[in-house]
Amino acid sequence: MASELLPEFFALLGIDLFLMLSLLTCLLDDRLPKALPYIYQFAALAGFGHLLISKNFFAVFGDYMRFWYCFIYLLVSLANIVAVNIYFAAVKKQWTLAKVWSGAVSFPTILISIFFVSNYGYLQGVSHLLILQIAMIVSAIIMGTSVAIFLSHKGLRDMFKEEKEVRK
Amino acid sequence: MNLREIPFKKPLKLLALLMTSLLIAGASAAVYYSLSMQPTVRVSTPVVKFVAGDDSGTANATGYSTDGTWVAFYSLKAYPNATLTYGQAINISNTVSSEKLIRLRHGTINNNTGTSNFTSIVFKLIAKNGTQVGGDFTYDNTNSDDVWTPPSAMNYCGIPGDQKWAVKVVTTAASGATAGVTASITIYLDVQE
Repeated sequence: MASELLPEFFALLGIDLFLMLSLLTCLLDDRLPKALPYIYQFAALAGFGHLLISKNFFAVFGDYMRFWYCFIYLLVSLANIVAVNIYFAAVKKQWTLAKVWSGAVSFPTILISIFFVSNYGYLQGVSHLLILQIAMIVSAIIMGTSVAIFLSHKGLRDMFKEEKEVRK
Repeated sequence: MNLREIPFKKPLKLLALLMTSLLIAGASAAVYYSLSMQPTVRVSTPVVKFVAGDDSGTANATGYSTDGTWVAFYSLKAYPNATLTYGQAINISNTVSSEKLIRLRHGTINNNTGTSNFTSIVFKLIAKNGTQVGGDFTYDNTNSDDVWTPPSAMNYCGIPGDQKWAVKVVTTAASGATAGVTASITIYLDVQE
């Protein structure tokens, strides 16, 4: 029999994402603020503390509340991954790096998160799950491909060229 | 010694972060494992429960709104030598999308001097399409004494997700039964995952 996913799994996933972010930002510290790896380590540590507190108040919080505070923590970690992606693209104008980050970090982590959230929804007997799953996967694929197209150097160059022409 | 002059500063920093990352990830995984292994039995709101039916008022069904897992009928009547049917004495609602197994179980029934006027009180589970599901759940008094013979619990039957079933009650009284005698019954709704 398959064991049921606990809502705390999303917090665990969020912690691991923050730790991964910490190590990656340390590797790329010449392009990012120096304090960022430590901030992400602290965020992961905060998640661990939150997991410990959750353990002691297991019976007090209902499934619904436990799901939401763990899911919000996961969303915060995903938002940070996307924010780093945007930072590389918009602030640093490092298109290749942004594209690599998008393909190797942002897109896979979002897909993995969608997979586990839909799996949790299935185990909890959420209605209209198939429609939700298809919508989430299609939107994730559209997001991934559109980011890849948007961050392609040629695409950007063409876009800015058109803007310049319009201004002229 | 100036910290800025330490050689291999970046690998050292990465190594330190890697060590703390492993520590945090390991500890978090251990906490999650302990959470998943924790046996928890919690009281929760029932997903399959008794809800009011069209005849709940006339059958004087009460108590179902408290927990939803039991219902008491305080004034079930019977006609002498004829049947009286409450088409929807109470309804059973499955509020989730998955199928659940349910059964009716005897709770209490009053035995008093008027009980001999009754012959039987039969509970039937009626599915959404109008067919009876499972067998009859019969309170029997065919020997016409003042003691009811309560039924044993029904066999479990599956109620599909998001469906409402009716509980039909058919009462029968003996020929020449005294008017004004009522029966009070409490039944429970058992659910199997």
